Amino acid sequence: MRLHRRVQLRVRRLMAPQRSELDLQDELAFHLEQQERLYREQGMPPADARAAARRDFGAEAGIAEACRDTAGTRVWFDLLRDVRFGWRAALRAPGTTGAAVPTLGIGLGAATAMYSVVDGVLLRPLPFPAAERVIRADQYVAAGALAVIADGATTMVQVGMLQPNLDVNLGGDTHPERVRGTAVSDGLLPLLGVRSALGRTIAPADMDAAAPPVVVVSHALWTRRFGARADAIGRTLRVDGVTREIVGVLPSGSLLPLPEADVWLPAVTRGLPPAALWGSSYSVLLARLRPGVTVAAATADLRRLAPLVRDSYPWRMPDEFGAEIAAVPLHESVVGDVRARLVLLGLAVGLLLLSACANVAMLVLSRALTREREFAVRAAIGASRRRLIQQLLTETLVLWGSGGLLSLLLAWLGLDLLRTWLPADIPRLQDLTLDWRAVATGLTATLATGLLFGLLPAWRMSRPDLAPFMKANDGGVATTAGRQLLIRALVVAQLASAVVLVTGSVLLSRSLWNLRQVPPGFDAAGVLTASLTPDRSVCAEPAQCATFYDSVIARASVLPQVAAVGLSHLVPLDGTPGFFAIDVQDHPMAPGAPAFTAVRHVTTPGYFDALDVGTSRGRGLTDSDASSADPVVVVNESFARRFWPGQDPVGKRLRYVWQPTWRTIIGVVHDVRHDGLALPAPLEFYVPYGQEQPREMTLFIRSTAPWTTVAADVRRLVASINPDVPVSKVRPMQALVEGSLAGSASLLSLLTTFGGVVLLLGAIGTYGVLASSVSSRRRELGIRLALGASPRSVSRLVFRDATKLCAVSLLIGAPLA
Amino acid sequence: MSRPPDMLQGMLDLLILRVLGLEPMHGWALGQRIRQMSNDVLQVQQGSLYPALHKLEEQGWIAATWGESENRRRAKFYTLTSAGRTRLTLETAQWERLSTAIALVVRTTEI
Repeated sequence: MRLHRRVQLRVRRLMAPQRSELDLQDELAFHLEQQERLYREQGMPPADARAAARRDFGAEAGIAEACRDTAGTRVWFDLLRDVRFGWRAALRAPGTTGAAVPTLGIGLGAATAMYSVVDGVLLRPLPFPAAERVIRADQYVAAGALAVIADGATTMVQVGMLQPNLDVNLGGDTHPERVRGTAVSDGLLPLLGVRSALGRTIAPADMDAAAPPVVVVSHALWTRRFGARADAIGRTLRVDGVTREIVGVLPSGSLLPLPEADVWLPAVTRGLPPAALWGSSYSVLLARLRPGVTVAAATADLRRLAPLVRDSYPWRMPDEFGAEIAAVPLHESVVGDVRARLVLLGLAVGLLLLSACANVAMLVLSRALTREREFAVRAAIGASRRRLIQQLLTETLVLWGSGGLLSLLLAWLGLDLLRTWLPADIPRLQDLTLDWRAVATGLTATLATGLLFGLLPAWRMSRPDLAPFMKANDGGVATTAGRQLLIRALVVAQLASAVVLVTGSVLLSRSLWNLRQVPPGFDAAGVLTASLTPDRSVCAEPAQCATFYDSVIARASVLPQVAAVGLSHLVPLDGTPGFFAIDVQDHPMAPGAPAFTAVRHVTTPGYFDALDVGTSRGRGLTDSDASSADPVVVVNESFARRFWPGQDPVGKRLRYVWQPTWRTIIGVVHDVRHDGLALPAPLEFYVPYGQEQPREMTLFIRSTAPWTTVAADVRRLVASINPDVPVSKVRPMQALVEGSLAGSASLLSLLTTFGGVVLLLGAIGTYGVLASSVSSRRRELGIRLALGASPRSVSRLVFRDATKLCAVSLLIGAPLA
Repeated sequence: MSRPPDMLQGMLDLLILRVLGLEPMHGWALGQRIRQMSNDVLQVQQGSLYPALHKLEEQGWIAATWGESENRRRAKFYTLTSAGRTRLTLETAQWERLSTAIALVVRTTEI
């Protein structure tokens, strides 16, 4: 009942504040009248009675104020009034407001956008049930190992395997397409809680090589090729020359952490020759942990199984094979390498925000200093310190609130910018939106920084020194040393963070430039690449593709303006090449020790001409090597240096570990930085096409014609040789070089922009500090001038002030950077 | 009016509740009645009376209605609520305990 009454009272007061005010005044007036009447009845004359009554009553204003203070709604009305005052004060100082609001908007907006990114990429759990119970083995496993692990693991309840990033040909009615595929075991999709939208997913029976070929398609492919019709189940699709029956369709939307693939094939774990099951298929192993099992236990389990797996191989594997295998939580493996970059970026944004807040706080303080007189008067007529703080804080919060609203808009725009700016390999980037969590965080940050940075000036201002103002002439001075120090500290903080950012971007740009100067080992200018992927419908055996490739080279060589044409199995700077285990003459390995590995290229002689990779010893490959009976190879300089430093490697031999045939080295070529410009060239050997015949090769054409023309010519000529061969990844080599630098380049541009903005803010801040310090020292400077100091010495005085500020910030900032 | 002893300020709530418990009245009459009931010893200052009244109203111990005074003037009358009555009993008990304790200490002639 009491609560009800209290609430009623408050509501009434909120609804009709003027009524409550009038009532209060009426009540007090009534008291006065009664007292006056009493005195009159006692015989006092009316005027005296009124005066006496007044005197008895005391300070009416004070009493009324005390009554108002008891009201619970007082705080609310005070706040409203302060906000209104704050708004008006902000409008009255357009310079300060105009500088502060955008500054805050940028700072808070950047912080909110960055939080969105960090939240979406790092913090948010993966979108499938019990995501934290899924682990991934940090090493690839062979297809044959799946059964061993699945049967033997005690800590894992579901085990699955996938081979992502298979590019396959989609044959068909129209032109052939090259699409992304993934091979999965039967347990993988259920492990991740993915169910088919139509039909079924992979079954255990599908994983046998002898089983009827099936395929599960993605939702996008189903819509695109089959018009999203239910009768697509049972239809066939030709994948890499094999006609497969469509048995299911996956649901739409992102299936993270699974890769974006159009076709889903069964991973074959039975019925293939050992070389296929154990040698050339490398898959990712995923597993769901049993309830209550830790990741460390899973690691121990995998390591316990490693010798079993090793012994299941059809050939001798190194003794410590798999001893280092570990289980990693899936989320970690998806975002792990990105974390460092995002944290760095987050720090940069944090510095920007700090800088912006410091800047605005300093602007507010400078502005408030000019109103010191007003505050002194307020304090003199009875405003408590708390009240003064509240007022100034609310004014500051009005500024901050406007900045905060602006920041939401800027964050929304900024997120778009970030999405294009950040390297595309950051996972989950496309899913980022400015959702309510980011908005809530943004508003909280606004309030928190506003309170924190607003309290500083408010607290400072609430203790005004009354004496200077009560004098008739106020010298226009009254900034105490303490206040100056605070402002200077803020500016120094700002400049220091600017120094950190700018130094960081200078260092990064230098490393980026160094990277650009690194010779990649080939000349990319004027070279076009195109990936050719003939499948079984073109040549049943890889050896039969030779005629196809010979035709391609023959026809491409006669295109106008073409200087050289070559084929290669691998493309520099495009993905990590596979390493082959080899035996090297003169370097015997003990059985059980890990073998030497090197990158194997299969190329035609034209490849070296097309990319302008020179030979330094011996000879290069020739056309006759293709059909020659002597197995030959060419190695790169790193290889020669590694195994025969200072000697001539021509005539030495190497071989694959699983074949007895030795191959003779006939020449040495220059290094090609295959893995990226930052890494040194790996050990490489080149086998002539003809002695090895991979099915898929990339065409390299050096031509002076514009690359779009060349590209069109290539497509036409391939289609004329065989219309079933897709031509994909047609792009100039230069694009690959640029692409490999892209990650660092975008980070650099981000850092530079940040640094620039913070430096600008610092400059504004320094200007503001100096301006206010000069205007408050106007009197002192005027006296100096009057006493004979030259204008130059006065300006030098001011300048020295500025330099001191900068020096301190450099001192602080440089070591931090 | 002479300055009342400081302890009065703290007990003002108790006094108001007690007097309003006898009958509803407006602020001026309340001050007069307290003075009269205490034989002119307790003279409440308006500066503390009205804020105290408003505070008690805010807390819900007393309720206010607008009515007519003796001379047909609009005045704010306060009454004790049922919650206020409970509160009065509580505060009275506390006061009795406190004053008894103080009297014990003050009157003791030996340590």
